Amino acid sequence: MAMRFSPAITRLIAELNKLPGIGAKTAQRLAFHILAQDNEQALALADAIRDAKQDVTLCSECCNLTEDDPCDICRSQNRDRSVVCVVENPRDVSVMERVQNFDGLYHVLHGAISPMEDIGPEDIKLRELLQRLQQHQEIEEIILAMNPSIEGEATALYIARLLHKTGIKTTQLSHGIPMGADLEYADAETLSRALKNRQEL
Amino acid sequence: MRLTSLKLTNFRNYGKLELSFEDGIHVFYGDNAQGKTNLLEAIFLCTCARSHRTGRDEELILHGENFYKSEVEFLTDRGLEEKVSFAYIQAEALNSSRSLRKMSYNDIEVSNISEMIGLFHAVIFAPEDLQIVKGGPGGRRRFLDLLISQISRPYFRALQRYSHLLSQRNSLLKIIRERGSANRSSSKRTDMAAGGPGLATEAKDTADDIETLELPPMTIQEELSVWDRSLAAEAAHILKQRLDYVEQISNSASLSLAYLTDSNEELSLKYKGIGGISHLQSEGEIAAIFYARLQRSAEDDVFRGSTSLGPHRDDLEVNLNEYPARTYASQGQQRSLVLSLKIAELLLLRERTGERPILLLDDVMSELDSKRRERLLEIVKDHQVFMTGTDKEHMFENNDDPTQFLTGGQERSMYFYYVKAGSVTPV
Repeated sequence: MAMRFSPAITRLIAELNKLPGIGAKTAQRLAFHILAQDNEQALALADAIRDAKQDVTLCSECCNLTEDDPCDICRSQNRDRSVVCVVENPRDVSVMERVQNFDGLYHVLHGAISPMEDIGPEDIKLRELLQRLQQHQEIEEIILAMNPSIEGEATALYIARLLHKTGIKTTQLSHGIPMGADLEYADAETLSRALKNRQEL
Repeated sequence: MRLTSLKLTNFRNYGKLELSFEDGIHVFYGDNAQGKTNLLEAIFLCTCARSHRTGRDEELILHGENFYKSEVEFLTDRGLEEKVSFAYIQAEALNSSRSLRKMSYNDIEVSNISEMIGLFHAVIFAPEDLQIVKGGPGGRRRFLDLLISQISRPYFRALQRYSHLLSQRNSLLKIIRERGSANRSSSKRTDMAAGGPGLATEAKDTADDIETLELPPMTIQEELSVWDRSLAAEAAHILKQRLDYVEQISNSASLSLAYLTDSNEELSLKYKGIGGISHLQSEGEIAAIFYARLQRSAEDDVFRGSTSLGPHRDDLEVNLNEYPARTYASQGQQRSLVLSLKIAELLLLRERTGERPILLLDDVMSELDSKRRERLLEIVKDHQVFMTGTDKEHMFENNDDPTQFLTGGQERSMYFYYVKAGSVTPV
C-alpha cells in the first residue's frame, strides 16, 4: 500500500499527518489539494500558520490564547472580577462566552491531570492560578468547569483540595441532560448522572 | 429468545458462512479441529463482544485476512426480531495505529460497547469452564462480571470506569514511588514539607518565577484521594451488586446441584473481598469503608506500585460441603459444581431479563452421565440449545435411541449439522 512521493511532498504529507484527526489518506488528499492550489492561496495558509504562531501568546493573567496581553476579557471593565471560571482548554472559553450569561473571568489550565500520560498538577497552569489568587484578593469564587471525564473530575477534586485551605468559595458546574435535545439522544453516562443529581420540583 | 440466523465473515476457519435455525436442539458434529467450537464461540461472542476462549481478537481472524465479523439475528420472547453484529478490524487494514471494533444493533452503528451488552443472551458451558472451580480468581471474577453485566448496564459501566480509574491510580503510585527514591538522595521533599515555598509565600511577579513557584505540598494520601474518591464510588457499586448476586447464585446453584445429582451435597459461594462489607450495607456506606481502606494502604501501594485491594483482586470461594471445592472436590464433583453454576446463571438471566437465554454446550454431553444429562435437558426444555460432539456414532454410542440421548426424553425438534474444514452441512 505504501506509495512513494518526492521528498518535499512526503514531508508535507508527514506534517499534515501529525495533526489530530488526520490519517494517512486524508493527509495525502490535503497535500495534493494544497499543491493544486495557486501559489497565493497555498502560501496564505503557510503565512496564517506562521503569523498565528508568532502573534498568539498566553495571557499572563488567565493563560488563554491571545494576541494582546492581557487578553480582552481580562482587560474588560465590564466583567465581574470576583468570579473566575476554570476550564481545561481555550476552546471551552469560546463555548462559555457564546452563552453570554457568564460575566466573570476565566482561567485556562491547558489540560487535565492524567498520571497515565504523565501529566501531573505541575504540568497544567495551576501554579499560575494560585499566583493569581494571591495577587488578586478580590477573587471570591472559583467555578470549576472541567470536562465531565474521569480526568476532568480528578482535576476538579485536586483544585478543590488546593483551594480548601484558602477559604475561597469553590463550585462546580452541574451535569445533566442537554436542553433542546431529545432524551433519547442523551448518552447513558449523562442520563445516569442526571438521574443521580435529580431535583425536586 | 431464539437464534434465527448466524452470519460469519473471516471468523476463525470460516471465510463466509450463513446458517438459519429453528427452535429446538442443534447438534454440530464432525472430526476434531474442523470448526465446531468456533460456531459456538461466534454465537457467544455476540452476548458480550468477548470470546469464551481468548481475550485476543487477533486470534479470531481467519488466517491471511484483516478483519472478522459475527452477526446474529434472533427472535426475542417479547416477539421482536433483532440483530446484533460485532466486527473487529486490524490496525494495519485501517492504516492506523489502533484497531477498530465495529458494533451494530438492528443495523444501527453503536459506539459504546456498554450499549451492546444485554441485548442477546447466551450461556456457554465449555471444557474451559472447569477453571471457574479449579483455576485462579480471575476466571471467577469474569463469571460474576459477565453474568451481572448482562442484567445491569450500570454495572458494566462501573466496571469500565473502575478499570480506567485504577490505571490512573496505579500510574500515580509508580510516579510517587520514583519521585520518592529520587528525592531521598536530594531531600527535596523534606525541605518542602518543612515549610518550603507554597501558598503562604510572598507573591511573585515575573514570569520566570512561575517555574520556581511550587504547588503546596500534599501528603501521599491527599494526592491519591483525588482518584480514590471516584474509585471508591465505582468499587462500592460493583461490590454491592456482586454481594447481592453471589447470594442469589449460591442459592440457585445449590438447588440445581441437588437436582442434578440427587445428593444432599451442599454448594455454597462466598465472596472474598476486603472484609467488613456486606450486602446489607448501602452503596454509600460501602464507599466510605472502601475509601478509608484505600487511603490506609497508600504507603504499601506506593511501595508495590499497584493497588493491592479492590474488586479487581477479590475472589469467589466455591465450597462443597463447606470445604473449598478447588482442593477438596473430585474431578466429577467439580464438573457438577460448574454445571450447577452455569444453570444458576441461565436461570438468573431468565428471571431478571424475562428472556430465555440460548444454551451452548461445547463437548460436554459425553462427559455427563445419563441422569445428569437428562436433568440438564429437563431444566432447559424451553431453551434453544446448540451443542457439539465429535462424531454422530460416538455421540450415540450405547444408545438404542439417539434422540433419547440428546433430548433427555423431552419432546424436542432435533437438527444435525456435519462440520468439516470450515463448511457446515445440514443433515
